[in-house]
Amino acid sequence: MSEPVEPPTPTATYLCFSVGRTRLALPAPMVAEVTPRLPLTALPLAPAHLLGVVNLRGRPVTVLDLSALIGLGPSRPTDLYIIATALDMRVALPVKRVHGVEQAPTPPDRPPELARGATLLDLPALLQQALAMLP
Amino acid sequence: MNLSIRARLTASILAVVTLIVAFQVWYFPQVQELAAMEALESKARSVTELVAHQTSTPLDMGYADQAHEVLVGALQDRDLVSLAIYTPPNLVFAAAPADAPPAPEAWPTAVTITAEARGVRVDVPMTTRSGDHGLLIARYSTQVLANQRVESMYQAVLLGAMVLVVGLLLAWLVANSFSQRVSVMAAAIQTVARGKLDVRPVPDAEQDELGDMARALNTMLASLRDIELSVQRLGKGDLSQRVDGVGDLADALNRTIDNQRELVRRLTGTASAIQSVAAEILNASERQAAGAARLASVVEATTNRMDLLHASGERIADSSLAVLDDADQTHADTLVISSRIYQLTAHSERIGEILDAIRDIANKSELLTINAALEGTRAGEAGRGFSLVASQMHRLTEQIVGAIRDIQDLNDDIHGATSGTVHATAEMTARASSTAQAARRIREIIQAQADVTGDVTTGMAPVGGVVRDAVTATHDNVHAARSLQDLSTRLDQLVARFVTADEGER
Repeated sequence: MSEPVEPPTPTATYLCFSVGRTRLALPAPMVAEVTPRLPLTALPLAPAHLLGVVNLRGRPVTVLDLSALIGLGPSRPTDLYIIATALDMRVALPVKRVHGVEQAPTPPDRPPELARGATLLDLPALLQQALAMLP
Repeated sequence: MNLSIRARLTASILAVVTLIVAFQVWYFPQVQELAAMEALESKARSVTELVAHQTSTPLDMGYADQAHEVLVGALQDRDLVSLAIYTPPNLVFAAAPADAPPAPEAWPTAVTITAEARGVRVDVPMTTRSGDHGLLIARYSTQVLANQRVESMYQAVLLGAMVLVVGLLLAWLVANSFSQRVSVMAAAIQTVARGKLDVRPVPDAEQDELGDMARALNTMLASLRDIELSVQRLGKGDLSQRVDGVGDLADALNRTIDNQRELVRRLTGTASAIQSVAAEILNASERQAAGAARLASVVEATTNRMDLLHASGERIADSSLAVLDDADQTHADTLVISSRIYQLTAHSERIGEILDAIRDIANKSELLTINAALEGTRAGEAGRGFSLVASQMHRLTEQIVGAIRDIQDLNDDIHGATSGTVHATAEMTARASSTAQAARRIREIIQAQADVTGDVTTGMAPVGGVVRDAVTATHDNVHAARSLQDLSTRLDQLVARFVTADEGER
């Protein structure tokens, strides 16, 4: 759906999705693709938020439990993975549902006003946090 | 009988007297004659020997005159007819009277007495001192004896006649007296024999056998009167008495009374038992009659209802035939429905599979549109149009997914409904089949029932007749029971007329 883009307010593109009942969003440039569920290989001695790795077209991708990382409790098995890139890392985030790509006004001093109250995730911070939690 | 006894007694006495008189007339003159004859012979012997002694001396001396005188003197005896003294050889020495018969040829050597016609001859041989022999013959007449005999006979006859007359008179009197007393008793006994006890006592003052008989008769009459009184009281139903007196009759009467008392006691018991039984029978008969009447009404009602039932059964049989047809049709319809439902279920499942495939495609399309939008974003301003199209397509795919979800929900509803319907249809088919079978059985049963009700209706007619007969019979029973009760009541009253010992003590 096309939205009129007004020059005075810069807009950005976001991917909206749901983890549990929480609507979240990521900046579209961070998202590589959305895939169906892939066979998950669990890692021994891994922390709880590191679910394992998946094989994405021959490349191993780490699967992070986004729900656990943002404090919503352990996630349930989901049908979709979001493949995102941050800090030069590719991670797979299991999500319940992907609502779509939307453009939202992004003022420089405030968070973008996303449709239906979605929260913009700071993926690099989350990754830092996850890496910090590694032994 | 009186005359006979009298005549017999008189005749007996007359015969005895006649015998006695005849004996006297025949026997006593003979005895007297014999005694007189003996006395005559004795006297003749002694007189002749005396004459012989007195004449022995004259004979010795030959003095015939003296001898003659002695002889004549001896002739003073009236019985002496003649005396003669003979000397040998047949000479008459002396004789008185003079015409002496000749001497016999042979002279006896001892005194001999010889009976002659109308007399007795005594021969006495005489021996003188000189040795001369003589013979004295004396002849005695029996004329006096004969006269005495005749006279005596006359006297005896006279005496006999007198005795006969007096005896006859006495015999008549005695016999008459006996006969009168006996006839009085005979009359009394005849009256009793005719069955009447209203007899005056016979005179019983005489102290003889007839008096004993009369007293016994009076005692017997008194006893009979007592027994008659008892029997009369018994006839009036008095069973409380005892007949005084001894004897077989009194004992028999007492035994009879005892037996009758026992009989009356049993009859009383029996009568009361019969009365109670008759009451029960009457009660039962009335109940039976009421029951029979109710039964008759019930049978009539049953007959009417059986007619109605028969007609209804016929109609039901007709209707059941239609029901059977309907059930068969329903069964066939349910089979068709069942096959269609099975088809519908299969189609629904197929639709579900197709929907799964479509949803898979839609999901993949959604991902494709998202990734396409992301790709467009990465292309920058050049990919803006592409992103726009991708977003539109994403919306479309979302709508498609929503539509698929709706269709899937609908299909799930259809599938659930059809699976429930399949189950219900199977039950319906089974029920339709069993309904058809049941309808068939119902049809058969109803037909049989209609036949049976027809038979019953036909059979109820004689039952009604029998029940009517039973009602009549129970009415007869009630009538008979009432009669029995009346009879038993009358029997009880009859028995109550007997006065038994128990009531007599009261």
